[in-house]
Amino acid sequence: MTKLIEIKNLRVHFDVDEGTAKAVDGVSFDIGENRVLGVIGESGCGKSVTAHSILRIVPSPPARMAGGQILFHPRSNGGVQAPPVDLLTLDPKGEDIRKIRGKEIGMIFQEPMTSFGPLHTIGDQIMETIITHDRTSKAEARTRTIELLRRVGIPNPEKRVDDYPHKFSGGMRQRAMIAMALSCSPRLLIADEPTTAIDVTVQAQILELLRELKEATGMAILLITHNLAVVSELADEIVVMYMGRVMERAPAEELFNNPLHPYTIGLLHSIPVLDGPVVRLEQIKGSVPSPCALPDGCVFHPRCDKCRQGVCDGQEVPELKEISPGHWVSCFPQPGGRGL
Amino acid sequence: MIQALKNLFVPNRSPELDFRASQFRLVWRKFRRHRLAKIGMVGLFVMYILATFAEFFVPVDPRQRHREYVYAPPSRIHVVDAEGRWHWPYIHGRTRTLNRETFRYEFPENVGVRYPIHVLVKRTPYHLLGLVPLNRTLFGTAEGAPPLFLMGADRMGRDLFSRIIYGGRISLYIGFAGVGLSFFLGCLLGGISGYLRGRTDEVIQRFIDLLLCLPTLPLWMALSAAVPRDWGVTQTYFAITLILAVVGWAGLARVVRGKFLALGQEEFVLAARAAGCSDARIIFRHLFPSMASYLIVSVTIAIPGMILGETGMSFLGLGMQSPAISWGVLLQDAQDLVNLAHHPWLLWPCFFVIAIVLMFNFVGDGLRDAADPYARV
Amino acid sequence: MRNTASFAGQVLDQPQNILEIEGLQMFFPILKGFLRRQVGSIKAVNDVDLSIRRNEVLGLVGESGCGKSTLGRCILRLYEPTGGTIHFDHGGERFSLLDLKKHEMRKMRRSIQMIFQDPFSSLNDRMTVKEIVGEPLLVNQVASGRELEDRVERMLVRVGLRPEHMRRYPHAFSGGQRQRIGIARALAIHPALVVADESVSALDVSVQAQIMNLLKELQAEFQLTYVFISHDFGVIRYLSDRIAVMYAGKIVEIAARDELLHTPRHPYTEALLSAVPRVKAHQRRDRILLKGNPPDVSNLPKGCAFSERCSYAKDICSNQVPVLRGVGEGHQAACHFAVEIKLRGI
Repeated sequence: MTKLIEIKNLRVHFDVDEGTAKAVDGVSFDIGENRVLGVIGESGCGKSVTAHSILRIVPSPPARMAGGQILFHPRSNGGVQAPPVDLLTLDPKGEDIRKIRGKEIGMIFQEPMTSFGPLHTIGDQIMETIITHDRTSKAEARTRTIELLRRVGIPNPEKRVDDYPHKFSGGMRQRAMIAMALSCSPRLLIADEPTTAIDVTVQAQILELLRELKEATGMAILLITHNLAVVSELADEIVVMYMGRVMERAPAEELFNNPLHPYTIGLLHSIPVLDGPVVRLEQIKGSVPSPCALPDGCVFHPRCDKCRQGVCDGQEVPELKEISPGHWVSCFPQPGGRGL
Repeated sequence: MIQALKNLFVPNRSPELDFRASQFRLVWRKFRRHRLAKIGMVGLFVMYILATFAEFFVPVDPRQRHREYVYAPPSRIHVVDAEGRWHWPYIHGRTRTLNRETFRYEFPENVGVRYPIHVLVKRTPYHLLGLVPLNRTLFGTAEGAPPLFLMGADRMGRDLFSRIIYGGRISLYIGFAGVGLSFFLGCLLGGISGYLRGRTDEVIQRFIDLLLCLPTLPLWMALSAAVPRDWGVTQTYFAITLILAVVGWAGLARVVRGKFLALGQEEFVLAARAAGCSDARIIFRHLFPSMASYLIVSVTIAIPGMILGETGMSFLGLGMQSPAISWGVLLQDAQDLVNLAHHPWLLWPCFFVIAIVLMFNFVGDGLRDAADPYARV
Repeated sequence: MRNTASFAGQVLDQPQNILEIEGLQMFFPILKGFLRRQVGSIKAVNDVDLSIRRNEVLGLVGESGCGKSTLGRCILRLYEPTGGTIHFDHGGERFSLLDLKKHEMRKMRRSIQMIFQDPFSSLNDRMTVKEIVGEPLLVNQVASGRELEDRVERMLVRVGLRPEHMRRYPHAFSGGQRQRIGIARALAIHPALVVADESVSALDVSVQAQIMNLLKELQAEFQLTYVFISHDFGVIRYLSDRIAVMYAGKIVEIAARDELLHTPRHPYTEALLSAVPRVKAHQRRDRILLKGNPPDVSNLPKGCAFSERCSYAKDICSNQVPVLRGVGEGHQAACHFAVEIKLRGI
């Protein structure tokens, strides 16, 4: 598997009135070509900030790139593999990152309503992206736009291309958003909560579409969501984040069948599912701490059932260790327990 | 009480106090970080103190005419005499003389006698605010000595600085009074409009549209034509306030209505209704407190408009008239360009108007930024 | 087919129904132009019959815009319904809620309370927790002074907060804690019926479980009847005894929980169940992918509102509106072919 993007020890800190919020604090993962990596976590866990850091669209200030690397491997040019680019070293307003945005890495957002400007037609907005990146003629861009809209399942694309965004329903707008992200056939699509704002029947359509597109175009997807079920529908590999750190990382099947980190286990037990008997949900106690006052040691220890005093709440932060091939956990080994 | 005041000014570090911090305290805490707004606040405070206790702060009686000082430029305050010796600040007497070449009056200093500027100088007894009997003012030259003209004298030899401070009484407070009245009208009609909605809303809104369409100047002219010429200063003052409020409430009513409509959709208002609250309780306990910060901002921004309104009207001769002293009245003297070219200090009231308006806007800006303490970066 | 009149008569003999809704309509006018002429109406709730049994949790599930929240708000008369009746059985008396005068309805609200969706906008930032939770007690003259404080304190402790939280303002709390405050406010006055509108949707997964467990405990403890509104079938399944599915302003199916989940009788229920993403990836089955979007409720199709998206639709479906009818023990569905077609549950 060739790696497409490697995130190494990424740290993004926000300077706010209350102090320094460590939104992302030492996150590492990589995505291979044509793979789907799901990042799950609750609000404030840093999953969106991580995704936005890749495209360098985190507003700065208040954000500060405090460390790490984001290595992006460019397309091989006639068999010659160019050295990877560290996206963090690029000027966030510069020419280089703009060439990567849209062209190499596309992004779809949670809120399809606000992702399009209201004053231009959907078609114009997609065509603009194509023309800026590929320098094509207007006519060709239009044909490609119509083709894209057809591709994402918008009926009657020849007509709908001239519609304004308000004429599209939520699901349609999300499809159009995907069409725009795909307009320059990116190699990585970042989907930030792509189905959170839409209804469950439409959500199923969108997930199906993403799966199809991934197969057809060979792109990789970074799927950010708080919904475990959504991520399980699509992802090959899953990263579980909590308070800016990676708790566990494993292939999807492995994570659901053999979760090791107490947080992952807690999350899996907190979701009301449709299968099996209705039993009392095992809840995770307490609530998410303030990002400005992270607990010492393991960030999860105040909410953890398995927390051991003197180990988990010390100064030392547990490392992300590979327990079995491809299965990484950041938890202190329990004596005699679960092989950690 | 003292602790409460202390909490207001000294940032507290205890988290429990933070949790118990009311809306007002959060706004105040954020406001304090806004430097320009703080400067504006202090400046306004000083100006209002000066205007309120004008009798005590003016060095010269603003109505007293000094025939020998007509159009006298500002007095020069000396601390070093011709021999290089240091003195307490003093001025010299001046003699009005006609320059035979330029045919203009000049005021050469009579260097011989020094008249020191006293602090807490004796005056004929007066009543501060008509209540507190006093016989001293903050500073000035002794009685019988040449008067201190900090900002020059006007065409009747009256001290401009003292007149400006006195004029602040009318000009600064007309803002409050006018805004108070239009605030009342705006809240009432805007509230009715936003809470009842439907037809009532439509009628009130169209009326506001109409009012906002009318150009201000002709409206002022028409309304002030209705004010009888023989009314005294106080009567005219209230008439002008009324005119300003009648013209100015519409904007505020819009704000109130908009807020009512927006807040009406909020779940906490629904929750209050679900709890069984009466309409009155919902309006006064939930809706108005929630928009208080926005209202304060709107009011702060409306006051300078009122002050400018009074100044503008009086400047055009539509508002206050001499012998009343207001900044607009003072600026009437600055209408003549030739006059102004020879006596540029006549523009001082203008400086005060600009300073006040700017300070109000700084404070308004600061309040607007602070008004939503829950807004995140 | 049971007609609605005899249905209502039947229920009268069974006082276990706490709330009976018949033919409820909530049409919002669409006004246009300077004269505010009505040019149409949004049929948010369109002829809904529903009875809620004492001490049950009725789950109301549907997609956005299906009218489930509007229905919930109509029960409290936060909206004034444009048609139909709601009968509320309380203290041995039967009240027709929509005929009550405004002040009578205000008194009734101590028995019917609501828990809202958004933990942030549902609490007034300008009031302390004590004032928020105590407000229903105060305005209904149930308690005041020291007694009010005691009751607020007990309620706060019961929902998992601490007594000293009373003096704090809402900004000091996290989303989950705020939702606990909202629950305390609704339950402080000991209502009989609680309408919970998407009350756990805005919360994070780990907190959501806490709040759902809390709601379950409180229901048993205070013998509450819940109308639980949600778009999330998992949440609905976890909490409800019976489930009603809404689509385009109408109830399309209602049955006991397991009955509805295992043997749905309406194609929409089947599709909705199938669309719910499942955690266990290996259990993924062929999914029914609905075409298109829910219809515009201001411009409904002539027949069954679901007919355009339904894979089982025949001619009759686009001509005749199906009626909600009994198709089994306590199971009603509004589909012409509810009995004929075999549908897949979970």
